[in-house]
Amino acid sequence: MCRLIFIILAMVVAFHSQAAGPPASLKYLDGHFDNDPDAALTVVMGKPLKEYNLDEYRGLTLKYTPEKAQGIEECVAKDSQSAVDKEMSYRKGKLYYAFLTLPITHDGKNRYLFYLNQTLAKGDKVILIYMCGKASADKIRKLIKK
Amino acid sequence: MNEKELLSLIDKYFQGETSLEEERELRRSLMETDSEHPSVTEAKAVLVYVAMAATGIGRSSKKADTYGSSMMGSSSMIERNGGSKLRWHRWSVAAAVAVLIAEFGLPMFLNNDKSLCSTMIACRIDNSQETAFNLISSQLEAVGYASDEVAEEVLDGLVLMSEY
Repeated sequence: MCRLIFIILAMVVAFHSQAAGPPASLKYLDGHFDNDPDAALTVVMGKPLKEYNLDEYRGLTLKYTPEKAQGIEECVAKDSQSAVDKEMSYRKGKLYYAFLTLPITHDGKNRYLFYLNQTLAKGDKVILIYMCGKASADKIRKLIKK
Repeated sequence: MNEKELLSLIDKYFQGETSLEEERELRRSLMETDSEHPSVTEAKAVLVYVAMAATGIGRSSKKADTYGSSMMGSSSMIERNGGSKLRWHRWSVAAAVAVLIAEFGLPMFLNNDKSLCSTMIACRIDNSQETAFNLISSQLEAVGYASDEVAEEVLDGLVLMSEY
């Protein structure tokens, strides 16, 4: 009985250590730019995302300034270190595009992070997106290519 | 205490009906008595075993412990040990169940059907789903375009490498 209890507790601890905490970039998607007139943040949770097999969507569109972009880029780079899968592209020594698959949450949900700095192509915006849910990475790729 | 009283107390002890005070009295009487009655000898042996078990001497064998426990009947010391073991097991099981509920049950319960649709554009809040999904589609479109572009670059790079 004791052994069983210890095995269960060890499994719980192992599961916890595998599942990581919130990504560093999430702070920019949680009211950080609420007072910025050049920012647009959308947060959608629950029912509206059901058909996409997602529970949470947070997206930020921000007019580029070097300071803001640098802060976000640093957080994305930090998150990329713990990502289980990543696609990252650099231009002129700066992060242009990133698609990170983050470690699953403690309740078994997948998490994805997108970053785009349009000023390194044609545009003047920085986009940061966080998604969380049961949707697979392939489904997310199809979603962005609709 | 005469032999008759002593034998009566021994019977009471083996039936597990003695109080702590009576057990102390029994130990005292057994030490003082010269009786060679088989019940007295047996009681002496059992009480010596109880004393050894209580001080940890001679508890190396689990078998002896089991034997001792069955022989001791109402021995409060052994009951206390057994009781604390049982309590420990119960607490462990309760703790494991609590951890599992906190780990899996609560998040499932708390995440149940929590809906939100909010957009903040230029410091103004808009809670309409249409606005949120318009912004989402523009964000996904931009990211999808960049993703295709990056994929093409990677392919071009691979083609160049293969040409070399």
